[in-house]
Amino acid sequence: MDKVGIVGYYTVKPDLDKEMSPYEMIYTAVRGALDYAGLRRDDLTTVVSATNDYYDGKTISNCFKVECGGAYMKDESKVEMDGAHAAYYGLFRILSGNHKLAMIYGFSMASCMPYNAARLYETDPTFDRTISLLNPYTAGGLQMRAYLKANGLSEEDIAKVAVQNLKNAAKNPLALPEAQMPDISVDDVMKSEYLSAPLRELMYPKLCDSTSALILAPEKQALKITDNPVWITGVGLNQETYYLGDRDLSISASMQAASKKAYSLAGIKNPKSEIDVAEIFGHTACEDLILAESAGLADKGKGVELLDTNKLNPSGGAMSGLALCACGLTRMIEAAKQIRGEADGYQVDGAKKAIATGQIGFCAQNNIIYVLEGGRN
Amino acid sequence: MFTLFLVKLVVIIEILIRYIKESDEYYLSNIFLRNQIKKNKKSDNRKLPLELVEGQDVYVKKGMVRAEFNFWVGIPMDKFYEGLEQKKFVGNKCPECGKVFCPPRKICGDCFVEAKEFIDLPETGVLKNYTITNYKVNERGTRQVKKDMIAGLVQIDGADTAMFVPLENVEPDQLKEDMKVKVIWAKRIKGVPDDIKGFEPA
Repeated sequence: MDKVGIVGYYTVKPDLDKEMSPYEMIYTAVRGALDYAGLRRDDLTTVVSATNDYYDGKTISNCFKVECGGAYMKDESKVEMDGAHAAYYGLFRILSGNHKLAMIYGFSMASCMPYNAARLYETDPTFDRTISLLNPYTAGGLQMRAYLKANGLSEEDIAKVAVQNLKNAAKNPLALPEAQMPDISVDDVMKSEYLSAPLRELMYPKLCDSTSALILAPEKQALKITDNPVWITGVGLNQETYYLGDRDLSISASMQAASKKAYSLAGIKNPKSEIDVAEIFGHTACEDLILAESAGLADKGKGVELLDTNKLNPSGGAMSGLALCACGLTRMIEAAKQIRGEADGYQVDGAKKAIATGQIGFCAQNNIIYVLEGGRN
Repeated sequence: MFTLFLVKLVVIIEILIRYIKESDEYYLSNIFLRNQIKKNKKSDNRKLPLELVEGQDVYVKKGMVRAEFNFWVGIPMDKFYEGLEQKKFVGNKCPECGKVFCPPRKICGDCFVEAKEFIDLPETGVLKNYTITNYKVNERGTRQVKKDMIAGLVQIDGADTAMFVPLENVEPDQLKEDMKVKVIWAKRIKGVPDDIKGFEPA
């Protein structure tokens, strides 16, 4: 795969209830990414966004966001998935040779939408939706029970993951203030209420309002823009079935397949030792472990051991504030920051290779994974 | 003449009643949060903006959009609901891998062939996984209720896939994975998903 570089990015500071309209927020992110890279809007050849019609309460939700996204009179498209999927779209537009600079952004505003209700429209209308039991909480509960049972672990093990994520979030200046918990303990997590047993409130990320933007450029162009680009050297995308009753929820088959593809492109043979940083988008603390294990960072059921290293989610992951449609893109940005040595206060020493993941669907039905590397060559 | 007037009156009243009934069904589709209330609103992302309808700074326009979608269930699910009418479960079998789906599927994703062979399955099954929640989610939003609800993935005996259904007549501490369960039928069977009232320990 030809190298594609990340040359600019920006994340709007998340808030539970942002005093910005969607358009101001997108403009801030897109403008911020352009300014960071020292580029002008005219330099962009394509804009790809990740938004969701149900989350925005409006069909073809990108048609209203043309101006603020910098897409006016440009080649523009939208992905109704995660921001990391929009980056995939942008990546292949660049690899096609037709585009020189791609702006990717992901946006959502949780304070203005009934999230769980919107997810109800994701369920099978001919069966699950009529029963109305399947929602992000119950799906997370089933997944966690399956994982604990398959590996003989206890709820406390998952609480440890939540604690580390929330403590990491405290060091990340771009984490949701309400998710920054430097003094949290396993006891605090275990005392929080059940959302859907065994999933507890503090094992589930807080939804927030935020936008992330990222600029991609082909190798030659990237080296002209910055001395310190971050390269996408591998990518994998995989989709499994919607039906939870068909799947082994204690693993993520789609992440296993996606990571295999990404590692083969990037020439990674032993992800356990070669990957320095993993920015994982898990919808619950438990899913972080499942996805990390399925991406080959730990043996099955041994994901908790990753907590002893500082590898897993130094930014706090999705637990640092989950802005839907932006979260996967934020993970890519956080991984890129680690490689560039910009993660002030939560920098992993000597981070050279990182992975970042994005997902969509109940229990991470669809997974995408990027391998990011630094260096001029 | 008088009869004609009476008929007209009845028709007008019927139209009025229908209008009133329908307008009750309208969803609140447009809620404008004005800046003032956006600033003062206590943040809780699980609460709906719908709760602010009474507030002064919220503008609500009712009934601007009313979209009702129909979903054709397809032949396999039609057979499933036909089966429910006769108080039995119907599944279908993949001709290549032999996997039995319940509820039935149009296509076996792995083999990419149509599963056309339908088979009758018993009323009993196995609980594969479960969860306990007191959050109710419907198309209007999420609310917390007092009573815990138990829901689980039940795999009907003879099937290879599980369905997500309510569990009744059981306490959370009695639940065990791989326990035997049997269906509780609704009082009135109509050939709809509600016919399955839930499952209970067998």
